[in-house]
Amino acid sequence: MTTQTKWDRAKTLVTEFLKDLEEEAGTQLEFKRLEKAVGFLCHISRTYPTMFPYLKGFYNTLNG
Amino acid sequence: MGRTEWMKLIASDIAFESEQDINLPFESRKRKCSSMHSQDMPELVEPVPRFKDDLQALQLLLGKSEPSLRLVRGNKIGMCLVGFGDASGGGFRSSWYKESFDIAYRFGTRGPELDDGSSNLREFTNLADTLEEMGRQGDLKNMEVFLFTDNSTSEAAYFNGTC
Repeated sequence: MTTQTKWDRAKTLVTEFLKDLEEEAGTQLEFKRLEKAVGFLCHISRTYPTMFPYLKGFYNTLNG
Repeated sequence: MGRTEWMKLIASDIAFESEQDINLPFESRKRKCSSMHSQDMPELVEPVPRFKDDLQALQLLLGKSEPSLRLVRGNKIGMCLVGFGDASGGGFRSSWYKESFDIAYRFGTRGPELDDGSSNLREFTNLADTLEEMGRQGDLKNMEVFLFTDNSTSEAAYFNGTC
């Protein structure tokens, strides 16, 4: 398993993005922030591979 | 960007501002190239439609207050319990051995919600529903599952989260 700090950080990242999307419809997201977040979540998904398919939304947004 | 694309980019003239650059290690050239191209990146991006669904799935997976434990390698006696499943037309069935060597099964016909769905969707839902049912019955506890399928679309959906 991963550490509590990393687990909490991953949770915070996901929750913050969800909050941003729910607060304002059609909101745009900061490229660099997304890039940093997906880098960390990719790191976490090495321990929890079930998370990996759900990073596709990040990559499609970054490269779309 | 994959390693091959990086290599192509780094090997191009752009990465070599001076002759000394050729002696730089790979990682340094990669960093240099990355910083040269960072100005091309947009500041803001529009989220794709699936982004919110993905975030909700991640939130569910990260739902526990403490990090989830993962069984990396079991340390108990191994045993192979085989199961089968198939979907055809409007019907589906699957069966599997339980740890007690009883045979569990599920079968039936699809409701109208899958009338417009493809045969690939029927194949995939049968696999997913069977695994979920096995989980509900406690047949996946301390087990490692090897899933074999002849349906490449189901395989793609498993690894990519979508077809």
